[in-house]
Amino acid sequence: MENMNKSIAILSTSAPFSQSNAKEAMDVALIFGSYEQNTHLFFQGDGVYQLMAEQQPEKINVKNFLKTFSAFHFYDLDNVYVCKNSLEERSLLENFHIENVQVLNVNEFSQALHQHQTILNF
Amino acid sequence: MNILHLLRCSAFSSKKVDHCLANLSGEDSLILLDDGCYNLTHPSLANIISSPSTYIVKEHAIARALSIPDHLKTISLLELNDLIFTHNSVVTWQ
Repeated sequence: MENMNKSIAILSTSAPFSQSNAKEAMDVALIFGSYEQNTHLFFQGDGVYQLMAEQQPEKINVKNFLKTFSAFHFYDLDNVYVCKNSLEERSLLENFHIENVQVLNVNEFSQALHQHQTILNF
Repeated sequence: MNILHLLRCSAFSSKKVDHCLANLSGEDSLILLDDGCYNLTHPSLANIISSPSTYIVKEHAIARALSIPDHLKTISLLELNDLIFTHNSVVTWQ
């Protein structure tokens, strides 16, 4: 019965294009989603850049994997959190390319992260 | 002896930017490229951004949905190639 309540947090802290961390975090999220695991996505630090609207990775010959973020809902990945402090530190507005992003301050973000039994950091 | 500094990482997540800035002298040039473009909004580069010897690779900034301030010079990768030959040495910070 204990297993029924298990949930997974994926913490994504890398900018989208220079390393493969961001893409790998997304792939893992989609896999867990496919298997109907209770999975929540957390974006902090440079990871918040992944959510910003109007990015054009085609310009630097990178496949636009960010488009796949709009499919999160179909994988039951309905809990997406972003750290407000990370946005402010980078002078970013809450202008995201997906909907239903929950902006949390650093304490709320930490509390939300603490709700999960498994945390994977990318 | 002037150095061309290629800054490829973000000051928000890497201390290497501090090392780059510590070694930047008056004759040097600084190029923001790849994740280095994110430094546009970092306070530690606020003064350096408006220096005439600082450049940003335009395509890399556009790809990341970053708005380039008017006073910052933009450059293409081809033009960057030329700059390499007008400096004595090149250091990549990544």
